[in-house]
Amino acid sequence: MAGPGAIPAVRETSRQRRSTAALNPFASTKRGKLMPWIGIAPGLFLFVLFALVPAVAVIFLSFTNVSGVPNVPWRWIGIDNYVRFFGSGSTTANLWIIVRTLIFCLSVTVVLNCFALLFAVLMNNRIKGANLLRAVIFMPVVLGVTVVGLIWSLIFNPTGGPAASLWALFGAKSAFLGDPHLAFALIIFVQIWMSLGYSMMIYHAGLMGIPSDLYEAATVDGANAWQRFRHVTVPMIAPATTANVLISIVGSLQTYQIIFVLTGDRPTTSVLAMQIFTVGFGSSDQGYASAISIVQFVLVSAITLVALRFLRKKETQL
Amino acid sequence: MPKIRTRSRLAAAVALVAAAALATGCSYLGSGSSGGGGDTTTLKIFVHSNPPTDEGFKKINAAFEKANPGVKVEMTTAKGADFFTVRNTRLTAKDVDITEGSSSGGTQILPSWVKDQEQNDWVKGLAAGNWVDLSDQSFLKNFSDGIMKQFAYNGKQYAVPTGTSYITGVFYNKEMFTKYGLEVPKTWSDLEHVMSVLKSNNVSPFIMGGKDSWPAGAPVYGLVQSLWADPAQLDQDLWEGKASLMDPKVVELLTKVKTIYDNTAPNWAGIDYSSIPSRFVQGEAAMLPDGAWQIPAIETAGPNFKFGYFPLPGSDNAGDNKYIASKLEFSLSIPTSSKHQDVAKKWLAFYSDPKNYDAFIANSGFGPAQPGAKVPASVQEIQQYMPPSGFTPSWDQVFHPNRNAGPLAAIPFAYSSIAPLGTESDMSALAQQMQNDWKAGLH
Repeated sequence: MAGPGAIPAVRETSRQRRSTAALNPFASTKRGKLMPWIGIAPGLFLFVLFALVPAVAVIFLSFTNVSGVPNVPWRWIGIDNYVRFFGSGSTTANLWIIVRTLIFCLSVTVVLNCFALLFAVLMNNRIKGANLLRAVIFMPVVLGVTVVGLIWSLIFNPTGGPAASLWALFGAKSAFLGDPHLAFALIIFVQIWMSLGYSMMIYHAGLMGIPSDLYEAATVDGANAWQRFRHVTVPMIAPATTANVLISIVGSLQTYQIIFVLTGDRPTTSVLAMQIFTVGFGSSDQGYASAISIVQFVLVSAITLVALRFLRKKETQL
Repeated sequence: MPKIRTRSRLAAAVALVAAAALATGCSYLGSGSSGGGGDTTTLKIFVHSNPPTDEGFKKINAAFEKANPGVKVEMTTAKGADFFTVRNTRLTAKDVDITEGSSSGGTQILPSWVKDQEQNDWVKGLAAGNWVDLSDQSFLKNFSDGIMKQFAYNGKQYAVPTGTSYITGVFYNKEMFTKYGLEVPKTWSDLEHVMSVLKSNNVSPFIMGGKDSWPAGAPVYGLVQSLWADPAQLDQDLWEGKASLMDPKVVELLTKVKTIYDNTAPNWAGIDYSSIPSRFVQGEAAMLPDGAWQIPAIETAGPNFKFGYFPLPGSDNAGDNKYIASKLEFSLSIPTSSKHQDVAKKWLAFYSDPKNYDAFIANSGFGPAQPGAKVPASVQEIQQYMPPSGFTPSWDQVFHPNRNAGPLAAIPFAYSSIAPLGTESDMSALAQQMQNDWKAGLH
């Protein structure tokens, strides 16, 4: 029927057949195979337009001197933006920013997950008012970064704030968020406080899925509370742990909002995401901001992939 | 089967309607400054948010609308860093008729001795033809020649100034000074005496909003003005390697900054800048090193509060401390993409009319850009510290930052590294680090 030239257009490769079958395994007609694509086309189009294209464009822009000023020509400058980040007078300061970003990520991820699991387990033991307590712990998530920032700015107000009054009871004084030795630790604390409810709810959902038979069997076998936690709870919530740890890592590596609200961009509290915001939006140096974005992307990807591999391995071991 | 077909058609129709709605929305958003309906022209003005100047503009807009029936002025503002992003976006979308071209300091074309740096956004925009040439507009003659020179580009004018901000002075509480028998200090030794008397009476000599970091830079500008006869020459010498940030004078400056910090209210490093005017009015400290743009906020916080403003005396020679240096405030320009350039020029002419400009400058906290402008008593008092030329640019206006230098020297001097804002207490060591960072940026 069809001419020789038409055959390749109609004929599916085995690879295409596999992907189509995976998308719609029940499709037997051409129309049936096409419909899913038509269905996802609007969403796919928007994703490509507003997520994929800008993401790829950032890689390209990181090799240019684009300023963001309308009509101003920009040109290809090779790796100059990367040399500026890793090889200029700011190299040491920039490496410190990366170190501070990693400290922020590690502290938030470890402490947040420990406390989130602790609270989830405590709330799961049918204590009185568990629902109310869960709501209270979850509240900062609902409040959002700006309100949380405002609350803690008032608490840490060095003249007359509640924290200053508490400090004064011990005869001490502090500038709190203005103290270069203390400010970063306080930001980490606020970030953990703000994210605790969200992580706790993920652990709570994981705990709800553990059959009570397992705990009963372990109790019959003579396991104490710690042993039940270690050998029943921890393995059974491994998927929740993986999800929580990854969310914490990615979220904390990209955080700048709470830092911006609490201290602004200061040498002692700045992290990579804060640098991107300051350079990209405070000045018209968008090529350089794009280069820092790529540095951050590589860092986030590398850490996330290693963590994912490690956590998946642990899941199967448990 | 027909049911399925009907559903498919329905889904396709819904998708089409959604796409059409999206396209309509996009085209509406992209319509830019097309103005209102009927005979009404909407003039879109976009400036950075600053309550005193916002109020001044609102009054001018109301008067302009009254004088020009059929014109509606739509003024919007944005805060801080958001302003630049929104401005560039709106310029791209051709959605603004008057906005800030130069945000500070005039044109500031890079001099020959500055190497491997980018021109500022204003100059880049001028070179790209983004702004309307206003050279032939007669209303520009209302402004001081000296100030207009600072805005010139290739012999042409593209900006209308708003004013100047006195930046190297110190506010003082007049009643407190009288109470403790203090005079306005004319030398650094006088200032040390003032600090000592205040401290012995359990009064904090200074207050600043350290939590925001940048307000703590105010004393630096005053000290540079006193310690260097020609700060512009210092900039050139630094770029040409003839001056060092380890010079004894630099260490002297850093030490004096440290002295001021040590005499500032307890825990000031954690105090918010926005709370400073009310704290100053309430007597938490006797002096406030800050820009004169704080005048409206201080007057609002204490309508009957008596205060003055004197040049920060950084030198022991009173002659070095005579003048207050200023920075050129933002200017107003018309983008070439504006669809209502004639109306925009009319608005700028209306704003520049001495009668309207007087009303604008009265509550702005700015120094006037028009020679005969009537200014409020608080600003009038500062005029005694103006040099004969009428305007001396401050350090931040003459220094050219080096983007390749380390963070301690990108913009000297590194006040945010000095304790308690930063961690450094040894000023010679800090000077050494600054010099290392500066040298790293000179190829």
